[in-house]
Amino acid sequence: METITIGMADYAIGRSPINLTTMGLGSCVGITLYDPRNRIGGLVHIMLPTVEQARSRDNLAKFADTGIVQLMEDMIEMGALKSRLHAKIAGGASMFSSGNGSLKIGERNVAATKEVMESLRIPIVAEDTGKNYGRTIKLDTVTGMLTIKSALKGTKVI
Amino acid sequence: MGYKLNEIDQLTEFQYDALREIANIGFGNAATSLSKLVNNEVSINIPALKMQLIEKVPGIVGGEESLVYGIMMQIYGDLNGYIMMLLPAESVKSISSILLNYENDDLLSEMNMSMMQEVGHILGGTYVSSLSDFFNMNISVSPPYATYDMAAAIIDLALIEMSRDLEYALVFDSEMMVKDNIINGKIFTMFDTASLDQIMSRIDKMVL
Repeated sequence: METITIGMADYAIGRSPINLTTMGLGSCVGITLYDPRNRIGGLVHIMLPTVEQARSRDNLAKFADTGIVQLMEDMIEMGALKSRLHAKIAGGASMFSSGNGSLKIGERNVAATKEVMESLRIPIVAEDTGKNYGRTIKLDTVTGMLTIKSALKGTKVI
Repeated sequence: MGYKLNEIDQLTEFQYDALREIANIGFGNAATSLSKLVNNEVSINIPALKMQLIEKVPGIVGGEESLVYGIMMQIYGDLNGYIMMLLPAESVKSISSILLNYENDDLLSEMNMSMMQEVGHILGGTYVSSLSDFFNMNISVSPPYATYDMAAAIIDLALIEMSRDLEYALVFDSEMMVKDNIINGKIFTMFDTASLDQIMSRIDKMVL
């Protein structure tokens, strides 16, 4: 099956059969949306909670608020139905245990992601967030399953 | 002002060479302090110098999923940015057998963590103080943060912090090697564009 690799602050959508993957999420969050009827999936790799305080707004995929909306709109254009979409999220770790407040950006990214989902009324059906390790994720658009691979904590499917 | 991606190509040859020389001074001194520490000669590659979109930096570092020991420190003061070192597990084991006289397989053990933080602090401190001396600037370095994980996951915090206000970062990267490759690793720094302005104005003054 073909696999599309998505970089930091980037997103992609695809129709089954295709895999969407992003590697080495630390404090960033990977959000996948999936329409199980049409088997259309999407993945965005966000870095920051909101575009509001950003000086540069060139890349909307960088932020949870604008990135998720852009992802959803592109999927709808491809034929996905908003009311059928569900979400899975992963990442938002605190990679360094010893640290001050600015190291909490992972938590803030996860909280912002959940707020955006709530305002869009898209349910988050599974998540693997927080803790202190990196994650590589892969969405299988045939099944909607999200595989999460870590360096030292094994692999899980949600 | 603030430099942009295309403007790095517009630097004069002199400015470009000066920037590269600065990277050489910093990394060279850091390599010297590492070689004293491990009592072995350390060589470094000529540093590469790039103005890069922040979200594209993981591509420069290479091997997003490769397992490395990462040490990160923030640089602040007259220049702002990050200095990071990424080392494979074998290199950390070599350092531990040289410094502690024993090999600890648990790379995340407290012993290894504090040893590597100390190594990072010495290297980062040397780097920053050599730049401070060269430019007569006030530059400090934060305590080091260390962990063992996927390279991209280790560096993303620094990239997130940089990307709050910026699109581009000035990235210097180089590789360090101890003979017979018992220790090797990447060392790189990122500076914000205001720091590049600062550096350039100092360089221009040196010419006059």
